[in-house]
Amino acid sequence: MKRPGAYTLLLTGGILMTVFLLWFALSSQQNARPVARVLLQGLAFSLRQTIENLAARDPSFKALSDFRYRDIAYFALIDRSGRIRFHQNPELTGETVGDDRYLPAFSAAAPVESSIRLGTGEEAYESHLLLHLPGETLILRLVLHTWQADQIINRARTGTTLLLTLTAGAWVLGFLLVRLQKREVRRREQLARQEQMARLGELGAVMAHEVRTPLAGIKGYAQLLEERITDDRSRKFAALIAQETVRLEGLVSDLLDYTRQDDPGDGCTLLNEAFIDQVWNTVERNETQPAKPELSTLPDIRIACRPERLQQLLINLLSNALQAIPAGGTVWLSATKSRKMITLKVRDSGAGLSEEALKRAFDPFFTTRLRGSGLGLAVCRKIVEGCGGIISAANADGGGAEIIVLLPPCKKREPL
Amino acid sequence: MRVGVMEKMRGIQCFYILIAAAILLLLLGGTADAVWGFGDSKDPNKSGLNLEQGYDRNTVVKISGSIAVSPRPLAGGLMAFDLHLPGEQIVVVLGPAWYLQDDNLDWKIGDPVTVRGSLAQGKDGRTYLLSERIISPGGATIVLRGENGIPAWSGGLREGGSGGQGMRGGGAGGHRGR
Repeated sequence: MKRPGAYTLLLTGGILMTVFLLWFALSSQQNARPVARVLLQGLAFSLRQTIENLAARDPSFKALSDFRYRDIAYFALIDRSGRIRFHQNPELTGETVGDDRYLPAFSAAAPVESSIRLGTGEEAYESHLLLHLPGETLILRLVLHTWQADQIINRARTGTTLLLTLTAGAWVLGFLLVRLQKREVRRREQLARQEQMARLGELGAVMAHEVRTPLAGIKGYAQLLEERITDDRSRKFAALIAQETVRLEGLVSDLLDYTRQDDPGDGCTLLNEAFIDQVWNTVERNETQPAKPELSTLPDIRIACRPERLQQLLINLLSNALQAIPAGGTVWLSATKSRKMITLKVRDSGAGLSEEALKRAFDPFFTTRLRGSGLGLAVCRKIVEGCGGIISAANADGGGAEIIVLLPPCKKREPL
Repeated sequence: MRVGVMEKMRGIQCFYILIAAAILLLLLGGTADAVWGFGDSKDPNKSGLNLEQGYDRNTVVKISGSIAVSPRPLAGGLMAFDLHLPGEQIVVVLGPAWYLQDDNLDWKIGDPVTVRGSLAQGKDGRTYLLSERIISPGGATIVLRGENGIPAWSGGLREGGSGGQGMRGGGAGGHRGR
């Protein structure tokens, strides 16, 4: 079974933690309302007790007139007929209640409570409680300010908002950290590849000196033999030697290209028809079945890449495409310009790339041809990345393979 | 290699989606503030009360105290002063500045006043008294509302009407006594 990666574990942990925090925040917020209600109910019961004691001691209710408590908006005593027996505003004592909200309290076992809006615009808590006085039962209409209770709900909501904000912040921060870490890993890989290239470069330089010279001699003598030998069979062997020597020279050149330590992006090239013709002339000389590409390019495209490296890039891409097509096939080359990048596409009418070839097309020494060095597209990637671009391979919709190259345009009108 | 480009694009998309989600969460938090009780920060009236037209006969009291903060305009153009009472300080709301421009409100801190009006507690936790009549430090009585609670600046002293939330409405007319 495949073990989950560190990022998957981190992401799962983060999601679980976020779900837990959201649950915690929401449940705290939901619990705040009942807590606030209980606070108001408790206060109402305490006040009812006090008012009942005061009223029982003084049946004229004069003692109630002096009773004040900060959280009381007002209170009143109402009898069964709806007459106000006492009101904090003395002008209302003796009048009749204009509503019947108090009535259910006479028969209800628990206080009848509701939220009301006073004429001042204040939202208040209203509770109707039975008041058992000597000889009669009255209803206490108690209206309380809710600011204290609201504070409980508000604090819970502040907590929720804070938690949501911190969670969102943690996700953004975490994502940035992961991005930074990935970038660091990429940088290290690039550094390691550069070091590997430097070592290969040294090896390539040795090969250039140590292998190229004898190869030139072998090739020269083989060609000489081919001319002088009269026996057909032996002449064929000499021709084969010369042919293989040429292939070995090509391999050494590719290796040298691949290991070359330069900055291909340090320049600017005008990609026009003349430049492509020049590229094509080289390709035509090397390939056995040249098929001139169908061009679709915009005029005056300036690419931030040195001319000889861009030429090398196009030669490799076109050669690669030509080697993939059957006799009579077609190769297309297009160049388009978007806001930030220039897109070069080289498409062929060949069989396309397998899944493995799509993944490994740009790896050095990976080839699907018997006689290929496997360095052509690897050199392409090195040039493109050196210019600050991106190269990718895909199978085109209409069949065949397509290599897509994104390259940056020249920053300013540099002299070519 | 197309896979590499797609991964890069997906990474950028993921980043923007995360940023958008974070902003959404913050906005939700902000909305919650406004809806659930912190008050709308754009509303200059932090009390949540109807200071200009609000009145409730059930909460009417007559109280005396000394001026703690001289009359000044509140946000919304209403004039108010702070009244010092034993153990607390309340805000006495008078009325619109344009209505009181002819009154001499040059009251000093510590001057005694008696106010009758409707008490209310604002969402900011402060106690407000929406005044009906005031006996000013000079002894003059300023009538700002009819007994029904309708403000004088809304015609409350000319004609009757019902006021208050609940227990009783009232209907006497009045006059602007100054």
